[in-house]
Amino acid sequence: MSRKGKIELKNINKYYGKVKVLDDVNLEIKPNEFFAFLGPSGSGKTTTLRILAGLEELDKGKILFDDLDITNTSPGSRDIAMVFQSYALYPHMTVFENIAFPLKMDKVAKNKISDLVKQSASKVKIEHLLDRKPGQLSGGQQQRVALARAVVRQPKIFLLDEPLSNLDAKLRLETRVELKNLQKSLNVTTVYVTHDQEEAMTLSNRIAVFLDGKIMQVGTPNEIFNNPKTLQVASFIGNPPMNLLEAEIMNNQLIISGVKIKNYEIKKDNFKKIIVGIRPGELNISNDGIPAKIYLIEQLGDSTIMNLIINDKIVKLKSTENKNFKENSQVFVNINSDKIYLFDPETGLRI
Amino acid sequence: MNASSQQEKSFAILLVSPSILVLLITTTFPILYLIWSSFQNINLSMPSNDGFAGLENYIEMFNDKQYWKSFKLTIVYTVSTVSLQLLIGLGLALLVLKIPKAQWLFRLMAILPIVLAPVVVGLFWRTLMLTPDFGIVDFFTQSIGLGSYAWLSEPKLAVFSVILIHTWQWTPFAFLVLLASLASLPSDLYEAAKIDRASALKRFFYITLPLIRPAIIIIVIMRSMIALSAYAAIYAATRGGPGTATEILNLYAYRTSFLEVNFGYGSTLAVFILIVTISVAAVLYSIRRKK
Amino acid sequence: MNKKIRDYILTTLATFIMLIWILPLIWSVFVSLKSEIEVLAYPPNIFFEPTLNNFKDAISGSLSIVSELGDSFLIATITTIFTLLLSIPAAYALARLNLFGKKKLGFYVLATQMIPPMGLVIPYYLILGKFGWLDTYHGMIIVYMTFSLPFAIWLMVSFMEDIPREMEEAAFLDKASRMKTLLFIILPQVKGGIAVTTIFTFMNAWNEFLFAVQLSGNKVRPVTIAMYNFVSVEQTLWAKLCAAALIAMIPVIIIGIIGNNHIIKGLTLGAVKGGGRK
Repeated sequence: MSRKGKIELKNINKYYGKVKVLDDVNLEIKPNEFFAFLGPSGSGKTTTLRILAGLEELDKGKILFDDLDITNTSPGSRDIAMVFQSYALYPHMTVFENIAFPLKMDKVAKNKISDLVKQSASKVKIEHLLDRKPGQLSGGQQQRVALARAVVRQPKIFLLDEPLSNLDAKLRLETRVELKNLQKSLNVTTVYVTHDQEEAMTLSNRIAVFLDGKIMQVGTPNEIFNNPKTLQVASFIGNPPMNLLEAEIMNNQLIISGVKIKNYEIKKDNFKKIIVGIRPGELNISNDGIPAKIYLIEQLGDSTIMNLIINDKIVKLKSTENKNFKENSQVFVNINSDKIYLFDPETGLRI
Repeated sequence: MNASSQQEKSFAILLVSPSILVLLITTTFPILYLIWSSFQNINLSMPSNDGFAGLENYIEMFNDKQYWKSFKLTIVYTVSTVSLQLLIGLGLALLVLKIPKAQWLFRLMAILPIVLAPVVVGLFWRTLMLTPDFGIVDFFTQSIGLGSYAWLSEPKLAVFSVILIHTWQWTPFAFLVLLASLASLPSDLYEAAKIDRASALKRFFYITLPLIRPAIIIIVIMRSMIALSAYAAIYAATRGGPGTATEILNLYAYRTSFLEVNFGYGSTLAVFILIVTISVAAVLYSIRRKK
Repeated sequence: MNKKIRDYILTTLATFIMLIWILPLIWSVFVSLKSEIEVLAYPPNIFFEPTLNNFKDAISGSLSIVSELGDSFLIATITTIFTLLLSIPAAYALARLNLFGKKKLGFYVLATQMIPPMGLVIPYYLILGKFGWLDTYHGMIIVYMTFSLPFAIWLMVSFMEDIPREMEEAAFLDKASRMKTLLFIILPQVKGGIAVTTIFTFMNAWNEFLFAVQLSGNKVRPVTIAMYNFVSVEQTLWAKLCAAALIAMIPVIIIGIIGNNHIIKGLTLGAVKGGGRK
């Protein structure tokens, strides 16, 4: 059997008692892909990962690795490696022994173990820590040990459960880059669970957005960003996330807060009320347009985020200009009508 | 997942069976034998009577004045020692809490009464502490003018003495557990309370006590179990005397079985003790789970 | 300065109380170093010429308790070994593995802890008597298992539950079998728990009296009944009694002092989160 690393999840359903935690999850992950499961807590992404690993049982459905049905096989026989959120390092063993453990369990010859461990350690730059115990390492170092232990077996499938969430912000950004490089050099199919959409966007080839146990959308980061299928997906991606405003259609015109949006004609008149999505970067303050009150200004140094109140809702505007605006003043907001997204208020689907 | 969960089940059964087997043989079987004996007449001093007795023993028990006396005494004994242990232990723990640097010393000293064999404790107290005109306690009461007393041979004093002995040995347990519990409370709760202008007394009742409730409950459960099954220290100190003044149910059952060799009736008493112990445990555990 | 003075006062007060508390123990040491005649002096003497005769008599001579010490040591050690061998795997199964009727088994183990010793000594006397196993080592050890095993299982389950599940999951993914996971991953991490269980099992077996007094005889005499060598109707050999008692208690006292952290951890289990040591 040639090990390519293709993963297929077919019709996965799982219940915790009466609650359906996974609702008909279907996915195909290509060999060597860096694939992210993105979603808020409780969306089912970690559960799906653990089912892939064989650590949780599914109630309905199948899992296939390289066209082979492995739904009923034990975690140990699936040829996968996993990095846990808590790293799960064996505290009573040295770093060397931790990394060597899977090899030992695989009955690899003793003389080979040492070389393989050192290779693996050098890939994540911890060769100098091999004699220490996990308790003596920093969070970032522990995380690398977990990585080294996972890659030492050269698995075909690599699972990561929010591996960066315990690191501080700066370390997270640095490690992100290294992770991406590591995956490329290893040529492993990688499934990466995170709630941080920026991580998912920057690291992955494709993303599956999870919500309430269902997959909302699967696509490349670009597709998800530019073509969100539902308003939940749209409001999850982007920093700050997409603004969602209530609007009306009258006489084929889009109206927000009583103001007709320039240059925008709609021919769908079976919708009277509609939800408009517009990203913070596609708004600007001008002399006329939608009335808004500036509520709070956040200075980020190279850009400014203005929190505006439109129709009693907070709308965020991102701008790199440095005009002097004052909080509590009334202004007018213009929308870049090329970048408007329309959503059905009842189903949340994109129109 | 079926293959591996089947493996897991077999492995688990393999690990657990030896213990369960041993437990069944060493605990369940004797208890069943005990219950069976309680329905029998097994009296080595009157073997002609031996044989099935039905509920005779139980009826005898309900009519037995000594049994009721013993039962009452057992309750008094258990409630007193556990309450005293809690109160004194809490007081000492609160005191020592304020001196973190010296705590290691107090913990070490507290361990000593606990590790001693209860029979040794009973003997020490009987001989070294409470013997009139000889023991330390007696010496002390004489020196402060309270006079000498028959600590162990005057019925009411004897009860007081055995309660004292048991409390002496086991209060350090309450002390250690409460100290650990108090020390683990986060200080920011108190700081918040101080800012909210709560007095020290109020802080104690509204913050401390509720938070150490799990520790208190554990102490009550474990110490009650021990008090109900107390034997060695009382035996060593008074043998249940004078007369039967300090004969808690345990000792009464012992005397009946081994001194009067009336095993049938003794078994009945023991069954009753078993029921009481399990009921008390059940009640206390359900209180514990209620939180 | 205020705080320092307060600390001083509190420390002195607490030390005073503690010393008074362990006075019986301290006094027994004094008495054991006195001669029998000295002991009878009233008011009691704090200053006297210490002698080691009582200890000598307790060890050699007609009243020696050395063989009883040996008996206790044998019984306590074997009980502890058996208890550990049985309880550790059982605890792992109960704490971690998927077992049919796990809750019921757990409840059963808990229930066996509730059995009062008196409820066991009576049937055991009758049963062992029938088998001719009174006054035997194996008889005693079987009986001692009744209180050792349930408690040990309960302790070990608590310690095993403290190990994060993810560690076992990582081991499974690393292709470790369940047995290897238990041996290489779980056991090294419950070393502290094993120490606590060993200490408590040994100490409870050593200090046991009721079963010892009823089920032993001339051949098997645990040290807890050796005390009564020195007490009879005519007289109590106070000083020798203290010396013997102290010798008998030395093992548990030493264990208590050295293992003091472990003991406290064991005592506070379930009462305090995190074992109670900051």
